Amino acid sequence: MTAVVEAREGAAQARAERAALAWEALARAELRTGARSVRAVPAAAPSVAPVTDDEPARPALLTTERPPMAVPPALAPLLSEGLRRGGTTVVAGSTSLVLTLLAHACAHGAWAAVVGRPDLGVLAAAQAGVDLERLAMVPSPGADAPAVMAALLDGLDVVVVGPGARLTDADRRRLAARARDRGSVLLPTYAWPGAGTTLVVEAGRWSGAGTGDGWLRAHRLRVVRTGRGVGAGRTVDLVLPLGARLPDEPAAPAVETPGEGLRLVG
Amino acid sequence: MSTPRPTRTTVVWVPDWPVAAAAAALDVPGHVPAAVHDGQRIVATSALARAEGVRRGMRRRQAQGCCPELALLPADDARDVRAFEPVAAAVEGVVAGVEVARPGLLLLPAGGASRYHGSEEALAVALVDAVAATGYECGVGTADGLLAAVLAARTGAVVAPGSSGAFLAGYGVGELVHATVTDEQAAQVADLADLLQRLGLRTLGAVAALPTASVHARFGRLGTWAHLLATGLDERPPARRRPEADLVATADLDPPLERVDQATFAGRRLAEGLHGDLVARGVACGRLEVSATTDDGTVLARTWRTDLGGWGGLTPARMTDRIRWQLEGWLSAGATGHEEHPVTLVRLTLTALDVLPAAAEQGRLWGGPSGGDLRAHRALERVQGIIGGQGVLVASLAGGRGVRDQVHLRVWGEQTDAPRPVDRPWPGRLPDPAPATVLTTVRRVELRDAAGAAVTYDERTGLVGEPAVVVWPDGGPTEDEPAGRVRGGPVAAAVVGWAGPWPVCERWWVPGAAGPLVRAHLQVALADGRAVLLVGTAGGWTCEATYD
Repeated sequence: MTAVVEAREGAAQARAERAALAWEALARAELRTGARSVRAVPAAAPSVAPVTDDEPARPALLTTERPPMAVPPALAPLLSEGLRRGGTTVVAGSTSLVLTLLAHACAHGAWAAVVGRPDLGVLAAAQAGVDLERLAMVPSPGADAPAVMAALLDGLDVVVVGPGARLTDADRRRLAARARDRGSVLLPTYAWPGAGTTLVVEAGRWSGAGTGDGWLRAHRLRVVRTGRGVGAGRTVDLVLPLGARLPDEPAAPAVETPGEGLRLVG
Repeated sequence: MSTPRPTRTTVVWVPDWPVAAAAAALDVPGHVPAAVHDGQRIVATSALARAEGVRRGMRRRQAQGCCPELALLPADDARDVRAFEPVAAAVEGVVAGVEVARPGLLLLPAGGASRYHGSEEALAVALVDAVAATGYECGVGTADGLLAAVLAARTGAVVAPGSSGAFLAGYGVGELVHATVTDEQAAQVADLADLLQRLGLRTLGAVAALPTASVHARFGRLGTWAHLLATGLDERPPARRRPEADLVATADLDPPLERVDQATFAGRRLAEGLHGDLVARGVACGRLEVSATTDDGTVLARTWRTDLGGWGGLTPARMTDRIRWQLEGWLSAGATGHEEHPVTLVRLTLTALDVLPAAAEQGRLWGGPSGGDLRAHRALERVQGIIGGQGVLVASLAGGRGVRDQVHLRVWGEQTDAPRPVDRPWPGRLPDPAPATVLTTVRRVELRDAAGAAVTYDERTGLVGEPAVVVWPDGGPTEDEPAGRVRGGPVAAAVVGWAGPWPVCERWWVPGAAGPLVRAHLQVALADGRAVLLVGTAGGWTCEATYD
């Protein structure tokens, strides 16, 4: 009896070892061929990455294989782990903030698509630093919005979704799952059920325009992160466009962490 | 002034082509005098009929009076062109690349072909033999320039290089008509020849002796053209006809197919056939057209570019991918507006367009797209397959002043240049940053000052009043609320800062514009943290974009 149990345990152990060896070899091969960029995970990162919560069966290799996309340094307090590949990040309340995030994410050759936003200011996108060569727009996908979104998530790195895409809640769940599977970033600009990260612009103020003089120069935003993750509840004051100087006060993003001691769990 | 050397041109001329084509089509024997008649007048005659005195322009009775046994044949331009195709193909068997000037007249550059065949006389012999095999007689002439070659073809002469001017000098000015291509041009040239006759310029040599500038001043564009031809020069070298025809692979689907996987199998066979055809001929194609005929006779067609999106090796598998995407788009419900019954396909056709020799394809400097770019290209093409080519746009910057003018949108895969260059000053352009939301439909707003009076903008007075309140008569400043919501009453927002106006008056010279329209851009920062871009004209204010 014990011999059978031992044999079974031994077989399970051998299988686990073989699997580990195979994963290691695969990771080495991919690193060598440059198929994917593998990055060592920081010690704190696995605990905050909800990917492991959602898919407990997958090994940690997937998480480590998807280096997060860059975010503006000013937003680092909110998105300390960067723009997570495979995640859904809602950015609501400011199109300029979406464009700034997009510009940083796509700075190194990534492709982006904007779906259901016929009113996107392309000129503002170019000024924010988005490479228009790698930005595709699907202004009105119509009734085929779920299929269009699925195709874009398959091939492109960042997909921005606006309210012009007609999606049901079931479509949204499926698309979020697809993004998680393909490792692309889903960036809705309006409320999206089940989003991992939500950035909401609470208040903004434009400066630069006087009474008939000057021009609109800088936009001061208060961005709040809600939802899950370490940065939840944090607030950042941000000035867009990045690097712009406020005419009346020095631009220094202040970080407030209300109730930080209570939030840091796990 | 240096004149370009005229191209050594060989002309293949089939005399009285409309008559020859009509006689061949209607089985009129060659010994019967024949003429082609368009219902009013004789348009072409055979040599036998001419010998009897039948001339172009005669009425039917007049012609039959000259020659009672005359066979009158109906005129048909399409038949002339159609019947000439075998002749052109026969000439192409001797020389690659010919220009069909008009049915009955072929131009080809003589240089390379005569070197290949040994001499210009040998080339002429080869051409005459090739055309004779199709059942027609032709004359071949070689000279510098078009007109000299056309006239040389009447006698089968070879005019030595550089002596075209001397060759032409003896001909009358009426011969210019033979260098024309269309009937309208022929009528104009006939008028010009008549005028020259009356002025005493009876030969081409006399026309050629005139100074060029004076000819242009007196006779205009047509006169310059006549002078150019009379001196033995040419407007342009013969334009070679593209020899490769589009390749087509087609399949009738019996029974009709209604499922994507079935149709994809048929598409796969077609793709393999077309690919084999392309490889066998050593050609590549620039575009691939997939077309399908449905059971109710509708023809659905879509063209895919092949030089973008990593077409690369043009493998049957990649063609099949395109076909499958396209079929998924067509066979999905509602693709053709038939919600009630599913679409079934009865025929599938693949056409390779823009066919050119495979080696003539120009690669990119750093090679084709690869990796993530390739993945993205294919995803975007897939989306085009779902919602149509017009659904996927890419943008580039263009020059301009308004926020819309500075963006040039184009369909993914289409190559067009921006309509206006960016690197111009564009005074009156708004300063950066640009508004992040450009409303798809501009909305009327009211602008009031602190006392509630309307703030106006006029081209004469400029801005009158200090903006204090912006009122949206039909709801809030954004349009991203759910579509079902009924917009409420007027919404007012207090102004905390404003800048401008930036007056613009542009494109008043465009015909159809209603006079010089002066408008002004005004940036307004609102108390709720937003900022909007207002456009003011004498008619009022509109909100064009939101800074958010």
